[in-house]
Amino acid sequence: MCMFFQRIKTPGIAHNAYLIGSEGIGIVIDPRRDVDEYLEIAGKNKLQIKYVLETHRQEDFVLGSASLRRLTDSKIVSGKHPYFAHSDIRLKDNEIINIGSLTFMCLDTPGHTPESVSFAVYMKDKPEKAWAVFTGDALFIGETGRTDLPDPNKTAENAAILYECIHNKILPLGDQTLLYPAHGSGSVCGGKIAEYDESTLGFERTYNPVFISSKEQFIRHKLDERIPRPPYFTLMEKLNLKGGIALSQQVEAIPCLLPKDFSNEARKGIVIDSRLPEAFAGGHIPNSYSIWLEGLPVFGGWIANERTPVFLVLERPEDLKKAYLHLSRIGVDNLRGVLSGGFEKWRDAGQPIEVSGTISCSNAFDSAKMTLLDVREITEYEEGHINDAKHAYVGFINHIKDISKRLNPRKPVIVMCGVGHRASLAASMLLRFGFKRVYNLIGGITAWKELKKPLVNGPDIKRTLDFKIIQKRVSKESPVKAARIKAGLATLASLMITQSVHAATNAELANTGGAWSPYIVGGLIGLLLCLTLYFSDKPVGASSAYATLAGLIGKKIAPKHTEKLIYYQEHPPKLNWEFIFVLAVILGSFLAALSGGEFFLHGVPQFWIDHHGTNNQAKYIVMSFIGGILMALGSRMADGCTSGHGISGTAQLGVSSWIAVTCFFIGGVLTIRLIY
Amino acid sequence: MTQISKPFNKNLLAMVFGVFFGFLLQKGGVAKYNILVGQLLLHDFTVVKVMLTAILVAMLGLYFLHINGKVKFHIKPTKTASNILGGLIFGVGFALAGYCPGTGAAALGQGDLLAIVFMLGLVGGSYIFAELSGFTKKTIDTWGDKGKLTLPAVLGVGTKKFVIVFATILSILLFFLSRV
Repeated sequence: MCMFFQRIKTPGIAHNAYLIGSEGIGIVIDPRRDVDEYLEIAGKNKLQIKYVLETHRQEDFVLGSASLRRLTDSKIVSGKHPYFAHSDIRLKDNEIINIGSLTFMCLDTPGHTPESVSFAVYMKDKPEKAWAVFTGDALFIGETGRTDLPDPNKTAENAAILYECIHNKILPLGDQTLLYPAHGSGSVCGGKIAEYDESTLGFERTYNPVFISSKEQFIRHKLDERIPRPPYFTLMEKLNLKGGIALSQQVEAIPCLLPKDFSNEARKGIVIDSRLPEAFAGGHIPNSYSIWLEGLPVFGGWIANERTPVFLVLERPEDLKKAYLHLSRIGVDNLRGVLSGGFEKWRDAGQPIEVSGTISCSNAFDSAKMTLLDVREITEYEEGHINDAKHAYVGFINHIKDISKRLNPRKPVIVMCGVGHRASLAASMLLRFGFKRVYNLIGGITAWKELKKPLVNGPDIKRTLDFKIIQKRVSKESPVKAARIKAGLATLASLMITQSVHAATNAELANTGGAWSPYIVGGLIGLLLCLTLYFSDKPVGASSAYATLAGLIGKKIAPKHTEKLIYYQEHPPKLNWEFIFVLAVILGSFLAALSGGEFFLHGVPQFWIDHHGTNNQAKYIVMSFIGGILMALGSRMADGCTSGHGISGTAQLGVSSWIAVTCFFIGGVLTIRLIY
Repeated sequence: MTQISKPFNKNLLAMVFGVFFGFLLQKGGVAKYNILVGQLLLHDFTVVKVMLTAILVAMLGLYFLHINGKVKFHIKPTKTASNILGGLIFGVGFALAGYCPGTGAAALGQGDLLAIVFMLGLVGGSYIFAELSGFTKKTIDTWGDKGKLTLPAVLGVGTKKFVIVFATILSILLFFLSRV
């Protein structure tokens, strides 16, 4: 039997379309918007395209089904779901269509999207076993389609649906079945798709998470994916309900603009510079975005939509066709011009040039003096990042903007990603937001790992919470103490002046961990306790000082009443050891914060704002007041607080203290769940 | 026993010790809202690490001094109902405010201005308690009032033996905490 088969890849979006030929009939599966290549290959192989198969609506590129139908008079074949209303032949689950000597069986495989189907293909002369299955975005090689797209809140439910249908519909086709999905490695439609193109169900069964995990494990796996959803998906969903739309612009029609005209025209839209990160860092048109050529069909859609006027700066003139196709595949259709002669012409014309910078992983950089911003996806960040790196995904421009507002604009920012492409885009965003010193950590995490430099793993609440900033630490080489205190006071003075400007930045600095190891601090507190008992015959405590203050105030306002109260009869309110001790605590903490560069005036803690937003600040204030009242009641009733009972009493092995401190934590751990 | 009797010196010492305590709280990060709340959320164990280390060191130091007659203990009487109920109320307040009486003062010192609201609550709450103190003294304080009890006494173990065993347990616990 004679059959033709070819995979046609689309770079950038890691898409696979397939052209199958049987008895002179061509069948295209999941074509992209620009269909010339399919027509050309069909023509060369004497195939007449008669059927276009759609596995699903596609979220990440514009389909070419409607174009192919118009150009070849073919029929669109799909599943039965209402999303396929544009289709000519709509097959039910398990329904077949015979084309040439092949039989295509439609299998409902929802989960990635509700309409998703797979096509199992049988050969007429060997009907007992399936030859191949075209799974669209249901089952990839080594992975499955993301299940968050229909509704992020139903990721788990859709993962369960996907798991069931892959096991019940696709797996029974048998181990010999070849697997042909719509995407390969690098797609935004799945997590970690394998980097090879050839596989069978039998091979997948040995390692693909959907086959080696239990349903619960698989759902967990899908929930953990957290792949960002690009904004252009919404447009794709709309256009693909009609089988996509034809190209609306001719590449020849894009005007080539001389530097001066380009400069004038570009004010109406955005400039995308598709040169490599190193070239961009060395010099570029002010306010342009940096997106490398192959990154256009994903990241172009993060910053531009179908109406955004786009102006291009290219490495080579012949890149224009590619750039145009990359952008039009995701519906970015308003290309208004390309810089004639490229950046060299711009340079020669004496037009303004902005520079950023690059830095190599082999350079040592001092995290106290620079901000490190990791712009990879959250899962990549969690798998290993440089210590002290903040995180914001490059696609979320508003997130980058928010972060940038909270950074000290005078402090250099180092942006990093896998190798430097995405970082270059993030760097260009930061430059647009007014940062002057932005460096791309060229080589990114790849080079960092190559040099075997240390990485931090896993989610870290202190840093992955979005608006965190690296901790400012005093460098160890600080000069003599006097100079240090002097510097501290100078910092304080300048901080007081610039307080309003840097309020947000400061808030974040205070949102990090302790400067010293908790074991050292704990040990020293333990020693301090021995000293207070030895020299002053007093255990460390804090809560009674507030009662003393309350008594002193009470004596001023209602002296007779206050004196009658049992508590104040037993503890006459006067300036005592405990009271002075707590006042001194304020001073001690102030000195510590000052010496560590951590003294900042601010109000509602950043941690609260990160969780409850900026609109609920009054609630925080009310809660902390009520919290104070309850805590005073509790500590007076229990006869001590986290210092008096929690450290002093427990160290003396007092039973009351161990009971109290246990209850402190039980009460706290249970209540905090109601707040966070 | 070294006793400094002059009130000036006594107060000066309170001042010095307070400064050190506040300094250490700030350096340990336990004056920070996110660290304290992180502990209650069981995300961040800085607070427990600081407390357990302090307890370990202070217990060894204090019992050593005590055995040699250098310090007097200040064990708080066990009033079971008050300790439990008071402890739980304290815990609720801890979660609401995110600070405790010592760390709240330290938070103010490092510039967290709103800690003052919490401290005002503490002052107010203390007065409210004083108002109720006539009642609590007659009721809840008397429920399960056992006097000054220590763990070794309750368990009927020798003090030295208990301290050694307990120090070992705390060390092991801290070792495991350092690995999470």
